[in-house]
Amino acid sequence: MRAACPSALLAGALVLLVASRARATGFTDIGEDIVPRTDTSVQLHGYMRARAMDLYNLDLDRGPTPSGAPIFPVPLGNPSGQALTYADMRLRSDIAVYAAGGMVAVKARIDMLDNVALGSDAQGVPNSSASQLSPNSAFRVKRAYGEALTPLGVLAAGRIGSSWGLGMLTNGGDCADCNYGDAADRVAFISPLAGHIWALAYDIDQIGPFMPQQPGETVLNLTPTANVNTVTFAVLRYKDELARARRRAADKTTVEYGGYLSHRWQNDDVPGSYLPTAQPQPVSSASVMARGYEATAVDGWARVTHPWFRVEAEWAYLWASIQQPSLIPGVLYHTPVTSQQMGAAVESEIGPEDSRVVGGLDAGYASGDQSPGFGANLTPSSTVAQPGDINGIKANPPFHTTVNNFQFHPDYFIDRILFREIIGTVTGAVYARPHVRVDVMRFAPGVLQASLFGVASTAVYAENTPGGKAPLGIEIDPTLAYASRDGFGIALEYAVLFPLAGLDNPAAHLHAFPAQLGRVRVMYRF
Amino acid sequence: MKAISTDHRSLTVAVLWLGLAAPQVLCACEDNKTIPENTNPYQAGTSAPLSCVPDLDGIIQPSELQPALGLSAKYTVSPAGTSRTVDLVGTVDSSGQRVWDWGASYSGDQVATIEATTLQGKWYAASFPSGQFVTPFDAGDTLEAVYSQDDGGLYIQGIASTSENPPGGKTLWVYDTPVTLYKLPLSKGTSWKSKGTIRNGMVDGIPYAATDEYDGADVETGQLVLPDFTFTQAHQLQFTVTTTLSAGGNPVVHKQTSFLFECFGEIGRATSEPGETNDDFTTAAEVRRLGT
Repeated sequence: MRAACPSALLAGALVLLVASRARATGFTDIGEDIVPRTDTSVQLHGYMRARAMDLYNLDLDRGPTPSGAPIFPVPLGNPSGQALTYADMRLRSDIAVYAAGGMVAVKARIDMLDNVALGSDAQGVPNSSASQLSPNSAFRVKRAYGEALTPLGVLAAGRIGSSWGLGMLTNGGDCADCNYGDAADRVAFISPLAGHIWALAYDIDQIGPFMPQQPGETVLNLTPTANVNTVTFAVLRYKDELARARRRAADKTTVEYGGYLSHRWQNDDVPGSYLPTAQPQPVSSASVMARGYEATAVDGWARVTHPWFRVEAEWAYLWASIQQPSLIPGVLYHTPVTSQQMGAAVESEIGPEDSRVVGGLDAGYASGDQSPGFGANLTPSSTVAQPGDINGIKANPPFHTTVNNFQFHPDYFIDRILFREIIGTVTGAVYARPHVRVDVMRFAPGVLQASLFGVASTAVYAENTPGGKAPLGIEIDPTLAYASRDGFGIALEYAVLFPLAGLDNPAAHLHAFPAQLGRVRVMYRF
Repeated sequence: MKAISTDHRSLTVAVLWLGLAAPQVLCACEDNKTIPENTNPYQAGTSAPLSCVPDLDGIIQPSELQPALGLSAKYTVSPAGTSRTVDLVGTVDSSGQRVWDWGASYSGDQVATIEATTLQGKWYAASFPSGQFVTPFDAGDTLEAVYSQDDGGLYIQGIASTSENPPGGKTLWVYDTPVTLYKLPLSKGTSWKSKGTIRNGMVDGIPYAATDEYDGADVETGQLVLPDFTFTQAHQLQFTVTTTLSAGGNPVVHKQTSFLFECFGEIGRATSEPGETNDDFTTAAEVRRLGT
């Protein structure tokens, strides 16, 4: 592979450093590597990642929101300070064990010291610490599943990575800078038929409160009606990366597309099992509440790979309703909460595969909701957003009973400051993102690339912004990245955000000031 | 793994230095222009853990009736000086549960914000050495009631005007012994009687002395429907308050029905016109309902 296509390999290495696309997991890769073999074999892939960042003035010097908090943390020890720094690491291992005979594979993803902040496990008194201790969660098993090849297709079961299309809605977290990554407890059957991949999956997303039958043994689900389940049907026409590259080199255009329909439901709920409470709450029959949750998602994806360009787009629409939105046992709301959300993203890249310069234009839309705040990164203890807040719960029954803001997956990065750090993800916004990439130096051990993208964004509804106006900001994001053929890579990223009126603080008569970010990431792949 | 080559090392050092230094270089190290007054750890938009979650066991324990100091609750209150028809009997649904439907909205209703606070700084604090907290007593917040609570009950200690010298005259009366408002724990069938005597009191600047007899009972549990919410296990409490003036005259009787719910306290209340004799009165001088 290396001898045949060194430039493709370099490009692949650079994807780890600069790209945010994630399509290495999902229905397209299940069973693709099950081939006849005589012995049991093991493959190990992964990387070691370390990164450091400096966040400068991400509170935008625009004063606090009505709740009294700045829109981003400020240094605690020095209120006049502007910079927050952070460094972390991750050792990722993707293990695949192939049984002799070529019918069965078992795979796992185990991350070690996953996003553990450097210096966060110091032993003893900080200034006299001599060592770093192993944290309680030093190992995180993110995926573990089996695949079996049958005459009709591949049957997979276990905790499986979940990704689709651009990663806008569900994202496996496979990109170099990803933080999260979706995994589903799933049984899936995937079958190739008529040039397409057909997939049917059943997910057990959540079970009700459970108790162990014996210490360390299996558990008993005490409230099956509180289970959350999802059924997904997908069909797609897909070529793997190698096939696309081959066709492109042969001056052929590749058209891929797919769509899925997914339905999730929950009849009852036991909120006492997850609500933050001052004292542990015993679970009883009185804790079970009728929920009546139903959600349906449709998603379409397409990609056209021409010898001179690539255009890829994803569109999703979600409907949901919660007949009883109350989380307090015995207290019932009279009106359901409903949701209708739409999101779309398009990416383009113009330039032949071996060109030193490529560019393009990306764009996206995430529907909003006419209530204060963007409504990203919520937890059960989040409060309802007030006018001027940047985040908070959207639904506030009986006064506001919709949650119509679509949220991009937080691992689908389109910028470095505004959506990724301050808001949390793309939601209730429209953006345009021109980009260009230049191979500065190509030499035997690797390639040095410089890239630049800019993001102009505006809110769908002015009510969502802390400034009460729609324009959000313009961000400039340059990158200098080096990737070697033998697995080493380093990237230097910088970003500056020029905030617009939507981030001002009209209540305090303060304008928002630019924010900056610097990040260094080193990768060691194997 | 292969050792990093010399080229790699030098590039790594340079890039690391550039990455960390870039923001400071480009922004010329200005100080934060808007220093927040509160630099506690960032916790945007999160609420404190719930201190009480209803367990719907039919009993209101003392721990499920703790005042939440500093947190306000909003009630819709019928306009003063008007009467309102109320249904204190309710109906029985197909599952055998009693249902009181107080879900109708009235255009004339007003909103009262009730917040429990400490006695600290109150002009009358010295008159209530064992008082623990205060809430507004009337919808206009001209009077405040002083309470205390222990595992045996919630007690009212007396009443005082919100300000020491209001235009209508000072009000301050202190019961000689705290009067039991709710006997705890509360469950259907619980009843209690309590009496408090007021000596040397003042009402609107006029000397006042009287004896109040509180006769209370938890008579039923059921579903209370309010405009915004439904409470599935509300306790219906009936009170008869008989006031006998020390100066003489006929005792004055008030009837009141309150609805309590675990962890929420009082979620509804109907107060009769003076002289009412029917526990299930149908005309109320005031109706309060949780919610706006």
